Amino acid sequence: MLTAGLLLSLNQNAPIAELTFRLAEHPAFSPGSKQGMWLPVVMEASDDAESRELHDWIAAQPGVAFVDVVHVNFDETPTAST
Amino acid sequence: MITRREFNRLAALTAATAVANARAQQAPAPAANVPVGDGITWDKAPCRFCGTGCHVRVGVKNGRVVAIEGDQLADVNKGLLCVKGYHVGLALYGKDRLTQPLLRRNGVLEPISWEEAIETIAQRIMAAPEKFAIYGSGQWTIPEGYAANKFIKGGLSNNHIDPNARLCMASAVTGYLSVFGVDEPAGCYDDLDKCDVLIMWGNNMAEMHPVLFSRVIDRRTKGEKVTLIDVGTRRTRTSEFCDHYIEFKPHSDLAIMNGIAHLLIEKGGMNAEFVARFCNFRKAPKDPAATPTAPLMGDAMTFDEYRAALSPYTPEQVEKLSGVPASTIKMLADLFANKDLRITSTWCMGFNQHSRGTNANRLCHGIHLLSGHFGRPGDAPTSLTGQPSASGTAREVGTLCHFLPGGRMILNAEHRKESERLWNLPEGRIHPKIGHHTMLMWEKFCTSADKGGDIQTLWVQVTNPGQSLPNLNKVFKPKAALPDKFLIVSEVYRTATTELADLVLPSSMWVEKNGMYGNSERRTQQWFRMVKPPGEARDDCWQMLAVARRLHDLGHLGMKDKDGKFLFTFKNDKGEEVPVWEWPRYYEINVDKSLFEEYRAFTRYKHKDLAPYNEYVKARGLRWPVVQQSDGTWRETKFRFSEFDDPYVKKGAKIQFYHSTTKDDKAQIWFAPAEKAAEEPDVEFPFWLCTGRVLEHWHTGTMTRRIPQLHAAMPHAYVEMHPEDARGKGFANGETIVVKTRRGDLKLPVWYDGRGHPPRGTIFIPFFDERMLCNELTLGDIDPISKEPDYKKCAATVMRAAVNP
Ligand code: SF4
Repeated sequence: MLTAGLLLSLNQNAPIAELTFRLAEHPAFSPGSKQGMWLPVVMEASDDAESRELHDWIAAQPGVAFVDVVHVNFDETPTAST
Repeated sequence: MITRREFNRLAALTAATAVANARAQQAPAPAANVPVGDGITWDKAPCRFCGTGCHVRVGVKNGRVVAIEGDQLADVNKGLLCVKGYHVGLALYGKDRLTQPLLRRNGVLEPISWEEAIETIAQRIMAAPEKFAIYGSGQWTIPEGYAANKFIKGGLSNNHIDPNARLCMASAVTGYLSVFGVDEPAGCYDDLDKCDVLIMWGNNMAEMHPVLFSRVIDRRTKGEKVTLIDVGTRRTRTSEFCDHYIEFKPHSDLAIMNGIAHLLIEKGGMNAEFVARFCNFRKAPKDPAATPTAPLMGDAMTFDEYRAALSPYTPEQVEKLSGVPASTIKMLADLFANKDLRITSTWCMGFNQHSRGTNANRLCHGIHLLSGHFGRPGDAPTSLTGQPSASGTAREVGTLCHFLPGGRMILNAEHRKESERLWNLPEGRIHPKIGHHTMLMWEKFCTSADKGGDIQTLWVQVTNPGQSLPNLNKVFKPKAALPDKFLIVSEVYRTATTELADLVLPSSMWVEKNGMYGNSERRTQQWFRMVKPPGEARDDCWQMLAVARRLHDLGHLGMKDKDGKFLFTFKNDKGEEVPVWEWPRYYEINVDKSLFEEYRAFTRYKHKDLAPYNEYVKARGLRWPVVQQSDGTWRETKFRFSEFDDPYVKKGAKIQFYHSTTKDDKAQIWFAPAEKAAEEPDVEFPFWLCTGRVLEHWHTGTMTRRIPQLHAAMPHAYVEMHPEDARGKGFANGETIVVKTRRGDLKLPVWYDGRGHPPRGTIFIPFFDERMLCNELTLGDIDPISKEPDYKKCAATVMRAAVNP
């Protein structure tokens, strides 16, 4: 399980209520409280591919200008070799 | 009781909320009250990957890195990280870490002891010290690079040492030296917060320096107006955010910059007062071989000569050369002509990996100087680095074959003498001839001794030339057929380079050792060891010191200073010498601190003053020159050469280029003509081939391909094509095709309408995948001044895999 703290930079005209609702509905995301044009969000992914898919999904949501990562915990993430 | 999952969620939300809060209040983020507990201890370190130099907080539990967080106290990233940065901890834990020294016997790498490994290296060097070379890295820590530099130049009287930064930053160095007389940017990342216009010249910042790009996007989010311009040869993620995407024909960037300069002069946009007060004009020397510094000094030219040289570069002519509409050239010139705007230019490999890379750098500085867009926050020409310590180690420590520490030159007798004094060496110990630069070093190593190949033993640390050198079939692969050549590789994983190694040394990496890096904005950063390396892996610096000591014990006189003491003698707090070449005693003292304090004495000559080691322990990096104040505190410098911030500028001077090559405190505005590329598309090879990087992988992918998330996101290399070119050839998206150049061919899947969008006639291959080595195709024609190879342009063709198996 990978747990990440994301920071969404929102567009000026972002549909904030809809976005927050959509995130709250999604089992992998928990939105925090918006601060100005920035929304903190927790993301949980069960495996490698899912983490990336979720990142792409959230970046594509209307009103999201940019996604930064602030924190990640991967103490149960498996390691890989090529 | 809080569950582990709840704890992790709470920690993530607390950290993200703290950064959001700080951004909303436009204040530096305070340290988030991330919940404590769960047995995690935290410490600071710079990110292991790119030259942005973000700071991370590293969470360690049970001797293992388990969590990473953007450091909210760090000016560089203010708590943010990119997708690579937040996975950086996992780079330590690939399943195939090297854990034992390996020696090749009968073609097979077999485990040996460290004693045997060190003895083997020492015997090779003893047999022929002048035929030994070190190939290092911009990922070397500052103390590692300093130790290697002192060992070979001060100990072996041999200057055959060069870092991989020759492949990425050398043209920026020669650009800065020939324009300002001293290396590295005058400005810093604060310019990104203040500029009205950001021009990214061949610089895909959204993918290569994503945290810096986010810093600019953040300003837009706050409602500030900042105009973003991408000038490039391929549409990228960066282009999608830009107000203007300006696409030019490969190699025509010099014509564009000449076109801007021409219009500035002819349309009254030049800042005549700034130019008269602070600038001279230069051109290429008539006889570049007249003196060793002639190519950097150039010949003087008058303003009228400069103006006449630019006169062919009318907007219409530039349009013909570059494909950029004349109206766009005028738009760029109008921006520079507007004195009310603040303009920052950034560049990275697009300018540097260019067979006219020095000139590309010079012309970019030139249009900033000509228009006076220099010296105010937000008005700056600034190169970005690809590696975490390309600046700190390769450039400042001077691990290039022609440098000595602190900006001194091998060819300068005074500089050699002073370095000998600082190292307490007998006079004449440092060899007066420069060593082999990277391309020459590898050519000599891959050529038999009877044909002039004068490098017999080559030690590679912290880099992967078997993948990153251009034209591998010429400068790396021939080693396989030369049994008398001996390749030593210090590494953390098996790589394309270890495949041909005779001796592999397992190394500690990142927070498994103490370290210091210097990032793109002159910021020196420090961290402590937090976890132990796996198995028998040991620090690169220890490896170098252990070999030095063995040579000392074998009687190599160069390993002693002029008082007969070992070159690397360190004492503990009680004044007792500590034999740090014995691994169990290496961490008895802080070797990094001892080496750094010794190195500091070199840094003042070019006003690159560094603070004492302990200041960096407290800080999230400090930008040099770091100068002590009357109250005893240490102050960093954000804007060099500007009176309002740089303590070395004379009062009343406003701007002073105090290392001017013309010794008159002026910078040089260079003229350089647009020229043809060394190899251009033709009937047989009709495409331009460009190579580069992707967001998920760092450089040759040695570390990031072992991080599951990053590997899954970008599992293999590909060739990007324009959809019409691909369809014209009948290629389906994803189909494996062959890309061929005069140097080799390579099979890989074609991708169109994907992440990047090359124009018709251009293809792009990322270089991170060791299974698809695009550097078997590249030309590697070098810039004559910086000796940096061009990876961005050569001629290629494509065909179905089936017809050319
Ligand atoms: S931008 Fe560079 S330094 Fe910052 S987190 Fe990403 S890879 Fe690391």
